[in-house]
Amino acid sequence: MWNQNKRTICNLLLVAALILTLVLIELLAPSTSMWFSVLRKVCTFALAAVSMNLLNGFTGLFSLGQAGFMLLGAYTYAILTIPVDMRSNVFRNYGDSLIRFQMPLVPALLLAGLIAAFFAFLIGLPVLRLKSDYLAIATLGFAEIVRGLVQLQNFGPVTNGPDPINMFTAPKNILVYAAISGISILIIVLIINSTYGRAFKAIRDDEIAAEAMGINLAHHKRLSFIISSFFCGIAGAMMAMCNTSVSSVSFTSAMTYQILLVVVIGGIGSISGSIIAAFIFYASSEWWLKFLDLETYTDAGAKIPLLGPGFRMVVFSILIMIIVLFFRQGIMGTREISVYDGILRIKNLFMKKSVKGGVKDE
Amino acid sequence: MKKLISVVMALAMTMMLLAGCGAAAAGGGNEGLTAYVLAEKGDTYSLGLANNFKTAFEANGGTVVMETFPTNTTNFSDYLQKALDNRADVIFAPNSTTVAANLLANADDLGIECPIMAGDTWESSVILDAVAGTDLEVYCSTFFDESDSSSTSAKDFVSGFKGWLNANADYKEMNGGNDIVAAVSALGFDAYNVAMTAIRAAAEEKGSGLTSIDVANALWATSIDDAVTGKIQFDQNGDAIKDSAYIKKAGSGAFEFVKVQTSPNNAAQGKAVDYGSATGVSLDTANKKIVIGVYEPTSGNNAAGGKQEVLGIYYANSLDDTITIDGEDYKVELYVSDNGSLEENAVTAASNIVGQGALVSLGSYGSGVSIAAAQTFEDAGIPAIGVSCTNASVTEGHNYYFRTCFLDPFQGSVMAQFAWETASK
Amino acid sequence: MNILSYLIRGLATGGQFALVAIGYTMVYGILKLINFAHGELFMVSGILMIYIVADFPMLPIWLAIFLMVVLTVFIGFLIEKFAYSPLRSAPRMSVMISAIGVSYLLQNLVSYVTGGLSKQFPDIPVIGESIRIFGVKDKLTVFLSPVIALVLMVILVWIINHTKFGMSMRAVSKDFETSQLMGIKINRVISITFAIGAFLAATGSILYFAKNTGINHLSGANPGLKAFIAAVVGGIGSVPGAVVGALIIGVVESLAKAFGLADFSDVISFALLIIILVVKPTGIFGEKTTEKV
Repeated sequence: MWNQNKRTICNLLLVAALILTLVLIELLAPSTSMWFSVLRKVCTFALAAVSMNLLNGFTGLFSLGQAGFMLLGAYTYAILTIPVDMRSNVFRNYGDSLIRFQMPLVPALLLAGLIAAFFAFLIGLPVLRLKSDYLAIATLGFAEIVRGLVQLQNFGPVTNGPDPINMFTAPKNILVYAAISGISILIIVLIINSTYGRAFKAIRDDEIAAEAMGINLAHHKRLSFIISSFFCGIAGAMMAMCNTSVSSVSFTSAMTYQILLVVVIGGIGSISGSIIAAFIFYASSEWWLKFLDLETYTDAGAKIPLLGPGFRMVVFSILIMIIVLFFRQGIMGTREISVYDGILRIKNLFMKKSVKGGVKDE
Repeated sequence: MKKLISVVMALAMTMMLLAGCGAAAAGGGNEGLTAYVLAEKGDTYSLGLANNFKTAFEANGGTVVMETFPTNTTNFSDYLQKALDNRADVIFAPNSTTVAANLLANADDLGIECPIMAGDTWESSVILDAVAGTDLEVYCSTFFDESDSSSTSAKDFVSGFKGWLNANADYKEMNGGNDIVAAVSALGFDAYNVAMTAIRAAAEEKGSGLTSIDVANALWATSIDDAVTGKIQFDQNGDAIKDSAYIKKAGSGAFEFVKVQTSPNNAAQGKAVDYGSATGVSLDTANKKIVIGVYEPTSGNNAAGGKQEVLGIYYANSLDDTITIDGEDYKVELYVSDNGSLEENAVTAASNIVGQGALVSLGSYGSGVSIAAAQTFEDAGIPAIGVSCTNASVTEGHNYYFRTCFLDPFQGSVMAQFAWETASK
Repeated sequence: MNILSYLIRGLATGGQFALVAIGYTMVYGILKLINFAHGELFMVSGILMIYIVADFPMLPIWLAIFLMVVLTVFIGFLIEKFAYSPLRSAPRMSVMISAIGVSYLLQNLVSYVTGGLSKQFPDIPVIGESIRIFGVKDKLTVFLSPVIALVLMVILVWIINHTKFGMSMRAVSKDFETSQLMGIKINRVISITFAIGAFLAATGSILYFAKNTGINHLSGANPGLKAFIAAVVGGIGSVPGAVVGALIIGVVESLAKAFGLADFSDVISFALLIIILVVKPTGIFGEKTTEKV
């Protein structure tokens, strides 16, 4: 038993330790701590990055439509979970909401994913025939169209037009976010390790060879696109929850690029890499590097040079360029975290022996 | 040949698309007055104010042609041509200063002769730069007038603030390189003093046991008669009870005061709401300091206005930064958190303020970011005093959000009235 | 309604975008890279002009323009050297991500330097003069832009088709490795391609910002995206295609506004993009490519 499953068991222990840490933070951290808002955002974007990775890293389809699918998910979730008596208040500029019921959290989340998946199905029919860059452009265009349409005042009674939607169900507990994100990522991992996942990877490595092996290209590409968009929709719904208000102006191509950068930093083709990168990216940009934006004076009253509004983003983009140029593999490359292999490696380091089986690629 | 055919086909396709959807454009109104209203897609402030203007202008019997443009548009010639085609008597374009810089340049190129009007955002040196050397007639409504000598507090503020700006090159640069006193600076100054008054009142009652909830409760009872921008008192929504707006014209190098437009506001001072079992943030008795959060855009599209608001707050802090509680002096420190003018940054920027243990937060310039942060302040039990966010949704349904400025429905109808009068001449 | 004024301004915007679109299309032709930073380079050249004129007021305007063009070309060259050339052997996706990173960096840098404020582009003599033609009143740049774009396009096409450098460019875009074997200095060809692209972007920025004078760090986003759509519509890789595509996009957007579809103006160009991609992925002037096994 131990010998067969030692890697899995070790990784399960790691997950358990992570959950324990989250529970401890939830219980012990003071309510004003930055941990809460940062971890909510990390969970959200970890899922967004993993779902993008499924498409870009594992299937080799370069899509830049994430912001559009997240927008669809965020709006679906937000519109469906506003309490009935609050609706006329939220939709005050458009008379009243067309939808007059409130859904519980889980069905609304699923529906958010399904709507995004449905649009992915529609757009996928024509667009997925396109090759790499053209696909990227077409999906980027799709995301812009979605945003342009949602902002129209004509759809006001449904989407609240350009006005932000708020007052919907937005849990505060970080464990809720961790659970949604965790379960979704687990499902993605299971898909990647199934026959479908192997077919995806075959398409990524060589489309023509994959086709020759009897893999139905169109079918598998569409499947990957729809699954990825489904989880993107859920990530969008989570983003609505952690921002407590949704506004279509947030879902720009800049957001897609941000998610893409998270994927790159973590390693294209590594699930655990995306999760680690999401943590590092958002914790540093929103919290640890925040001091760079403040004009700071030394005790003597001298102004510290360079620090000032906007400097954080300059430093941050330079850091990103360094990673993109010099650490092209990102944090994890295409590997996954493995506690057991880590222990082996450390053990070998101390014992100065060569690693026997070596570190496996997955 | 094939290429030619495809070019022709593409053109034909677009023409069909246009012909299919485009019902002929609205004909120029020959009877009554016509206003052309231009708002930014997805911008809560811009659309809110534009719609309020439209309603009020139409109620007067005028015709309104309203259009929207997508974010990051830099060329407005076609929209302005539309205004010419419709023989608009007035153009109302309540947008950010970034938009205005191009819109006004394009308007000059087209030789627009009718007055161009906007809301409070346009009272900025960006507009003056754009208007310089042109024949454009540009008006904006605002909260305060620099040359208003009727109240001593306003006079003192203007002279003191100018002196303070001129004494510090960094601050002057932040103000746009001149010492023009923006209305938002005056509002920021007032908002800071409102917060200080409320903290002192809470301290009077609770001593060193005071929490941010006590500050929120004290805000409902706060009344400052001699504030720079006029009397400040909050109604049941948390909005300052304002009844007048200042209308200014962009001249060469300065804004010229045109008139005060008044409209009665009968709202009564609100009563404290029940904050239930919320605990809020307690006073930092260990370090003997009080943190006031400043939630403002110091980067992004609204940076110009955000910085001016921050300056007003800085200046107020430089005059009054100590509160005595139970016989001990507490130093008041400001913590500026940049929301980058973006809604998606709102929650973390607000959380940063919460994380600093602020008792109260001031800001923001821009309604969208304020609405997006409201829930975060509410969850932490920290009252927030909006400085120049004019959209009605900021305070509605948010018991912790107050504001020191007037609202868009008011501003919209004031401008519609003024536009009507100006265009009728 | 005066359709003519919309047509003229549409062609003007098209002409200005065309100069940016050529930069996209040439880089794509050679490196198969969507240079996302090109729109930002366009914006940076406008900002450079503002700072040059403000910091050296005694400089005559033509010298300031010359200095700005030289600096822009130099920045375009630097971007290629530092951000793209180290990734020559990397997968295409890495290079594209690097391009996104550069555009992120340029935007944030400009935002930091300008404090996020909109700056006014200086008055440019001649093209900034206001005139009235066919009853349409506007700056001269509006009437000149499409003409300048077409002239530059003709010169560029001549260079590509009739000079030795043009031949090496065509060779590199056909087959990277073979042309290297034939003794073509690939890096030099690529550098010059970027320089030409940057030069055209700088020219376009003068024409564009002379009219739309407010510039901030986001001013490159919209022209960049539109020029890019234009390059795709015209057939990415083809210089005349980029110009025709840009003129089409410019006119379509202007006419859409004329016909009361202003609310949809952004949606329309993206819809056009997707329709073209689906119907004819290689664009109007693009050549069909087949993938070798």
